[in-house]
Amino acid sequence: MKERILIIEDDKVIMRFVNLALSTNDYEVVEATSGLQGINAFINNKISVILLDLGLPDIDGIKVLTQIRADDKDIPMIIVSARDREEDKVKALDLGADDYLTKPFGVSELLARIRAVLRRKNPIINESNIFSYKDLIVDQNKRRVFLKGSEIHFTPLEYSLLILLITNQGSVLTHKFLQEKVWGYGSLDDYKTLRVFMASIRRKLDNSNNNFIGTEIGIGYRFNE
Amino acid sequence: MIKRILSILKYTFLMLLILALSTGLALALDNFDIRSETILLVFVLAILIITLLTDKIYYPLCGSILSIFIFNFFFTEPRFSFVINDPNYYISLVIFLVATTCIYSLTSRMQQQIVIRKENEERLKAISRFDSKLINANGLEEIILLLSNSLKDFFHERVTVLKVEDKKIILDNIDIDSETLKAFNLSINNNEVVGGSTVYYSNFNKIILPLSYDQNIVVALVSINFTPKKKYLSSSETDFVNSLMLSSKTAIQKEMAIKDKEKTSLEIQKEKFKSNILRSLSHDIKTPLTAIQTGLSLLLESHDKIDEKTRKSMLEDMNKESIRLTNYVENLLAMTRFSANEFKLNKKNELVSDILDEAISEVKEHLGDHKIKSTLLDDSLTVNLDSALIEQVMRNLINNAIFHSKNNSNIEISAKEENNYIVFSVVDDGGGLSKEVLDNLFLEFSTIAFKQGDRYRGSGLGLSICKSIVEAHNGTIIGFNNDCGGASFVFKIPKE
Repeated sequence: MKERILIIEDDKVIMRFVNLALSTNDYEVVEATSGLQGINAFINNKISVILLDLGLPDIDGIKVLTQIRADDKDIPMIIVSARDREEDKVKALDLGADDYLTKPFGVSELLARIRAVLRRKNPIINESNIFSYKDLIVDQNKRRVFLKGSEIHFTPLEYSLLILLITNQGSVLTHKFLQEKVWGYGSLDDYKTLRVFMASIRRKLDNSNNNFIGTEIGIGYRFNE
Repeated sequence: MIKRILSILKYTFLMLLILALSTGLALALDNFDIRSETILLVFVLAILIITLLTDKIYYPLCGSILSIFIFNFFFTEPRFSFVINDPNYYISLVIFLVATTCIYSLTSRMQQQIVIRKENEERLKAISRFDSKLINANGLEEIILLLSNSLKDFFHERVTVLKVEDKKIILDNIDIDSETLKAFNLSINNNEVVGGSTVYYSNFNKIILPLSYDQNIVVALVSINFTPKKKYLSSSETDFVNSLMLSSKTAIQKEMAIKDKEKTSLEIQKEKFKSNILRSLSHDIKTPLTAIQTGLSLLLESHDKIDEKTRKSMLEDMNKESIRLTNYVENLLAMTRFSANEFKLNKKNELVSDILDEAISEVKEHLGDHKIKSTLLDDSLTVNLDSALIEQVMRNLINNAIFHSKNNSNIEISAKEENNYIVFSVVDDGGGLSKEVLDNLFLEFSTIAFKQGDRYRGSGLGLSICKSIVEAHNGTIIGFNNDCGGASFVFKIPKE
């Protein structure tokens, strides 16, 4: 079955091109040119992913985001917006967006982000619970991490962070999200502790030439694809 | 001095008169064989009256001693002599003396109490008057002035209130000796009471109280001189001053809190203004850019999966978007020139028909399925204008018609002469303007951008540029929904 993607975007040409890009890549597309139309289309169709523009003519995209998120806490939503300020991105991600793509963007990047959120939504049932990507192998049954075949020691907190990152591979995770998931409370030090842990994880994975973890400055981290 | 002698004479006369009257009464009573103890009571009464009517202890005391002599002379055996036979009388007289003294001290204490109570009452009234005035006081200056006036009602010239700014006293032509200045500065720097019975300058002839609010910032000094007789403030005076100062302090704190709030809200406004304008600009630039980039990357990646016809229409769309972008950037540059005042009209006599032809040839490329035609009755019509700028106006208006009207719409441009003006119009039948757009038509770009952020769809900047250019030519521009179900934009500029 084709995945159905809802595009909420008011610019005709962008809508047309994104629609074309998605259709040629075997997705089904539902179009909405305003916020309210978007919410309606979401309710009336079985949607797999939502691409949401923030600068909409009727209601602000952030409102659309919170409304849909209140209705369905799992539906993957990717913000596609010209707003490129850190606070805009952090706000949208913290309000439940799964990813944030700044305009202008290329088709391949858009498709990669869509694949990432879909993978997260439908994880490949892996009986062995073993994550394997390039030289990295994470055995979640035995809590062991291997890089190029040799085992690397991870502290429990580092390990939890790594698991969060690999299970959300391709999606950006905000500082706030990581902090609250791993430590269970908000940061009192501007995420300094979190940054230190991330730096340590990076160092441990740095032996290879692979750049596993990408930084979204001021926003959070992403496990690259 | 003379006043004092007069009052002594008055009270002495009063005392003697009362004694004479009571002696007369006593003599009269004596005639009726009243007992001498009762007669003594008449004199007790006299002393009581003297105490109430006079203000010093000498009068009742002298009165008592005189009464004793009078009593002794007139009423004790042997009469009309100062000899006393009966020792009982000695005892009576001593008790009489002690009793009158006691009565005096009691009544005088009571009088003092009454005076104090009166003073307190007045102070309380003054405090409540002060507090009610404070509610309406606006600003630091007024609060300090009010405090100064209220204190002066009580201490008169003995009180001075000085403003303090940045730890420096504002001296408005007031002479201050160096010692006092030192004391003032000590008070300001430590936010402490100086002089009086405090640890600092304890022998000073005045007391200095700092008026401060949060973080010990002293905003005024209250200095009260002592009188030569009383080198301290009584406890009720201290309470009074402290209570006025406390009220002032609260009022100042309130004042400062309001100011702070105003300041932050202003900053938030400014920040919002800036971010909304940036949002609007970035939206207008990035939207066509996104379309172009998405289209190009799609063609690059999936060229073979897309049929020839779609590819062609994609290229047309991208071309249109790039024109939109160019247009936008040109307007942006024009706006920058306008706001930098770096713009001069380069007016020349031009043929109106040239202007219309040029405008059409520029938009032909991206007309798509819109149709455009121009109407001009008189081909020889000329007008004095800056052709490059007016071209930009035409281009903006026609592009708006192309980008914002329905498919297959007709666009008509025309020009005619009317009362020494050349009237240009761009008319379409493509749906017209929404109420929201109409409301914001020709507003200063920043105003629209602020109101709408990235909700506004293009043209905001373009129309505000059009208005600036037309007005620079001493012309006017209007926009409205016409009878053909579309929008009309009409501008006129003087022929010469």
